[in-house]
Order: sequence, then C-alpha cells, then structure tokens
Amino acid sequence: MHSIAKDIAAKSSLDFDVCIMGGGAAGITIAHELLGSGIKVCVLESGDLEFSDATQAFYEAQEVKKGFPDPHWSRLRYWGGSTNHWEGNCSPLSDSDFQYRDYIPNSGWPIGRDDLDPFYRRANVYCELGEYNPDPAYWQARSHKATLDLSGAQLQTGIVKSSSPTRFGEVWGPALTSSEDVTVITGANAKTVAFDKKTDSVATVDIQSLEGNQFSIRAKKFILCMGGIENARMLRFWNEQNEDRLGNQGDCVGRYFMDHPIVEGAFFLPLRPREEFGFYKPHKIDGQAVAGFWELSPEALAAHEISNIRLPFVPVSKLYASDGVSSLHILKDGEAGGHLWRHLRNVITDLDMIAESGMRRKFGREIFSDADEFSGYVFDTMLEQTPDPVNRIRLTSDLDALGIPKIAIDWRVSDADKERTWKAYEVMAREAGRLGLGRVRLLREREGRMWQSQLGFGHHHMGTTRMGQNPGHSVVDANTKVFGTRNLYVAGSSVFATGGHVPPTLTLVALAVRLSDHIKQQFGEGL
Amino acid sequence: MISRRSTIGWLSGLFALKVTGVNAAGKPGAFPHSTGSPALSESQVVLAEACLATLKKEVRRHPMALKTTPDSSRLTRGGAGVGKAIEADYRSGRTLEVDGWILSETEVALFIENGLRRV
Repeated sequence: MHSIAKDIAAKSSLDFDVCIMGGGAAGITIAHELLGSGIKVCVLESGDLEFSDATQAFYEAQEVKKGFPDPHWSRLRYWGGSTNHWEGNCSPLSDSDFQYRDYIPNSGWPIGRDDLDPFYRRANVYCELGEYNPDPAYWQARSHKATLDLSGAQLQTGIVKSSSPTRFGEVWGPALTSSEDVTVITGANAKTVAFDKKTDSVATVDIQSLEGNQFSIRAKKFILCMGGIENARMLRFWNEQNEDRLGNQGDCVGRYFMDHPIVEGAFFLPLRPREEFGFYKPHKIDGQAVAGFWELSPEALAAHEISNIRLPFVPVSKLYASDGVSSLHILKDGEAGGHLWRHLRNVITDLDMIAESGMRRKFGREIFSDADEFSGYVFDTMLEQTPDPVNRIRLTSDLDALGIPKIAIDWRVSDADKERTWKAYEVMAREAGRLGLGRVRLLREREGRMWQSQLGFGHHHMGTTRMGQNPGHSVVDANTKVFGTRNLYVAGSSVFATGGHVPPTLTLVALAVRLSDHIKQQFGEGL
Repeated sequence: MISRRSTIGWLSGLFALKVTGVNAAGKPGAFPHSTGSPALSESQVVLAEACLATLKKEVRRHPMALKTTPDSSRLTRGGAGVGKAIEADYRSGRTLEVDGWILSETEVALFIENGLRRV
C-alpha cells in the first residue's frame, strides 16, 4: 500500500508492528524480508517515488571539511535512496576485515565473516548478482579470460561482481507498495521521537511532510535506515533531546566516520603479455559483469601491518601515464611540495607528451600517434580507512526547513593511513617483481596532489553508528540494536565497525537481511 | 664521464652494503646504507650517486627497458641465474627505489652497467 504524507489526517497516530525509517537499500530489503510474516510494517520515505529538488535540499550540509565531496549530491533522497545512482559493484568483506588488528586502532567487529556468510547469499539476490560464490578461484576457473597464478604469494586475486545496477525502489518496491502488510508513506520526514525513559523504548516518531502536515507513528520496533550520514544526524539530534540515552553514552554517535579514499599512487609496467591480465578487465560470466583485482593476502597485511587495499588494474596510454604532463599540472597548481626539482625534471624530459597534450586540448589535433598506445596500468586504489573518532558528523546551529540541525563533516586521511598505503604499494611491487609479472613505480612526487585535489572517493559513508560490544566505544550491539534502548535498531553502512576495501552495499544488505531474521524471531517469541 | 672499470669496482661495494633505499633527491652525501655495513670511501659514495643518477635518467628515458632482463651472469649471486637472483632480491626485500621504481639490487646493478655503456 502506498500513502502520501500530506494526505494523512493531521495529528493522527498510526499503529504498526515495525516502523522502518528510510526507503533505500537497507529499508526496502528489511520490509521485503518481513513480507508474509504477519508483521505489520510501515516504511517512511522522505522523498517521493521520483526525484525532487525540494526534498534533496534536506541533504545540504552547513560545513564540509575542504577536500571532502559535498554530501548533498553523493546521496539521493527519494524512493530507492542512493541505489538510484550507484554503480552496482559488490564484494563481500573479507575475514580479516571483521577481526581486531592491534595495528589498526578501533578495529574489530562483534561478529565475524562466518556470522554473515548465510546472509551474503541472500543479499546476493537483492543485488541481482546471479550465482553466489565468494571464492575468486571459482570465478577464475569459470572465466574464459586468462588469469595469473598467484598461489603462495603475498598478493591474491579478489573479485568484484557488478549488479545491473539494481535500483531497489524500482525492482523491490512494487512488491511493497502492492502489499496489504506494508504501508509505504512517501513525503514523510521523521522529525522527533518520544522516548519513554521508564521502558527505554521509543514510543512514537513524529512525522512532518514538506507541506507541513504532521502526524505520528506508533510501533513496537523502529529501524533507522536513512544512510551513513543521516542515521548519525537524526540519532545525534534525538540524543540532544533525550540526555544521550540513545546509544550516545560514549559520545560515539557521528564519530568514526569513514569513506573509501581512492588514489592513483603507482604505475605498473607488465612484463607479461596484456592478455594474461584478462581476468582483471571487466567481462561477463553468465551475463554477469565480473572483474578481478589485486589485494594483499591476510598474512601479508598482518606481517606488514597494513590496512586492506584494493588494486584494480586500469590500462593507460603513454599520454595518460606521462609524468611530464602530470608534473606540469602539479607545478601550475602549486602542489609540488618538496618535489619541485623532480617535477621540473619530469617536465623537461617529457616535452613531447606535454606538446601532444597541449595540441589535443587547444587544437584538437594529434602530433604523435603512439601517444595512445598502451603503456601499462595504474591502480585505482581503494583504501580501508582507519576508524578515527575525530572524523565525524556534527550538528550545527543552522536548521533545515523542518527545524532539524544541518550537519558539518570533519574528515581527513591520517598520516598513518597514508604511510600504510605506501607500504602496501611496496609489498605489492616486490611481489609483482618476484613473480616476474611486472615492475612498479611509486608516484611519490604526486603525493601532495594525490591526497588533496586528486583524491577520489567511494562516497561510501560508514561507521557513524558503529557496531560494538559496549556503549563506551560503539552505538549499536551485534544485533544492531541501539545501546540503551529496547526497540530502536539501525541498518545500513553506518553500523560498520571498519570499512574494508570493497564497496559496502552487499554487506549492508546482508546485515539488513540478518536484522530482519532477528526481528521475525523476536515477534515469533512474542517480543 | 665514468669508466666501466670504475663501475664494476663500486658495484662490488654496492653489494657489500645493505642498501635499503635511495634518497629521492640523490643529493651528494645522502647515499643511504644500513648501519654495520662497511663504509664506502668518499669517492665511492660520489661514484655510486653519479651512477644512480645516470640510472634514473635511463629509467626515465627508457622505462620499457625494464621489460627485458639484461643478459649477464657475472653479477649474479652465488652463481645463480639472473632471473633467480632477481627473484631472490624481491623475495628478501633487497630492493632499491630508483626514481620511484621498486627494483631489485641485481637489476639496479645490471641497469647501471647497461646504462653506463651508453654514457
């Protein structure tokens, strides 16, 4: 059933078993999993079934640390959420991602990969990824592309499978809007909660439409599914009104904010024919897009005390790989740092490619036809970021149209994470050399630019309501129930304790499926 | 101009050292070596730096040269083949960073020799 918030009777109170706040990947998955269970579900979606500027404006931040992309546009606030513009890349987290690593502060989940494995299989269906098998070797064997034998190496092959990409609202939404068990209310902004201190329970959530219509939802259980930033924003806001009783006992709500920084810090010159790297190029198996990437083995990560790192091969031309062209831009932008002389040398010794670049840009003409020839690979390197409490979502004094504080984002890549990245590149370079696969050049002179203007992002917002074992260091428990409450849960990548080196969607959907089972079990036991 | 004879002389010195990295700027006096290694004479250090500077130029001008394994067995360790020596270097971390390239000590030595032939 589908209702529109502005049409619901003003000041009314609607009763449900479960109230899901947010109609993105997590919220839609949970609602879908609860179909047919006899549980009466309501899904609140701030936006409409289609995009609108007015609703999207609620994502405007007041202040964002320089260098971090404006979250106004990295997320989408309408039915289906950010799956309306995601790329669809999916990989499960690895075993080591869940483990405590003494060289990575604040690492470790209260659950392991084994706990999540059955749910990854079910999440695979929601992400429309075809056959589920997390073992890269299986896909290497099934691929018609040549692959590299890395057995016994500190390097290993990982895989990413790509969804169509699944637009959760379009694909899984109709089953919800046509069901009698589920009520999807669009245009419904959760504003405040009534928290009963005697029972440590959320009694109601107050809703307001963009047009100003107000009503409330009463439910036995509430699940916050608004995304990695908005979950923290709303929970922080509700804590301000409730003496930090909603999971903020340790001042962790909004902290430990992580993204996946993406850098190009190394150039790979293959010593083997390009065909031998075929598995690492996106290709189809049974109609499903698959691509391999390099990663370091768990043993190598532990031995060298490195964070997880994903190394996808991106073929580049001589022109693209030109150090001179890169250095010219760095000099022009004043980002040479301590490498001035090196950049000058690069420019002087690479004048032919600089001329080629200039001709193409200014006159659309080519001088050297070989500039387009394949010269090697760069790694579009996705990094695991160390959970750091100084990286955070804060509330500001500026309010949005509903009277909810706008956010400020503090975010940086720590020096330790930068060091670990270079160390990872070195380990990879030595292994590539030992195996005779290629030689690697570390692009150290680009470092300043690499971590600043050229820094890429996965736009994967994680960690702001992190999962843990106690409220002093985390916000939700192993079942993603908010500490200090009996009936408030969080779903989405905000519960990640660490982010790993792969996109988060498959994992957040797996966690949503797992939470659905938990909710069903609780209702089965009479709560 | 650096003679090939001198090159071979300092190469043996280079391998006596446990070289862990090359100063990015290649400044005189900055040639690194780990503690406990026999010290190079001043002239050997200058020579080594000059050779590495030459190598950097070579690598920059001809990165594709890294695709070929130099045909030489004289500089290999314990009589092993070049390929095995290079592999052993990478395995044990006996690598140098030359103009950003992570190269094995044996490779560096061979490239220096090959590069200097063209000087």
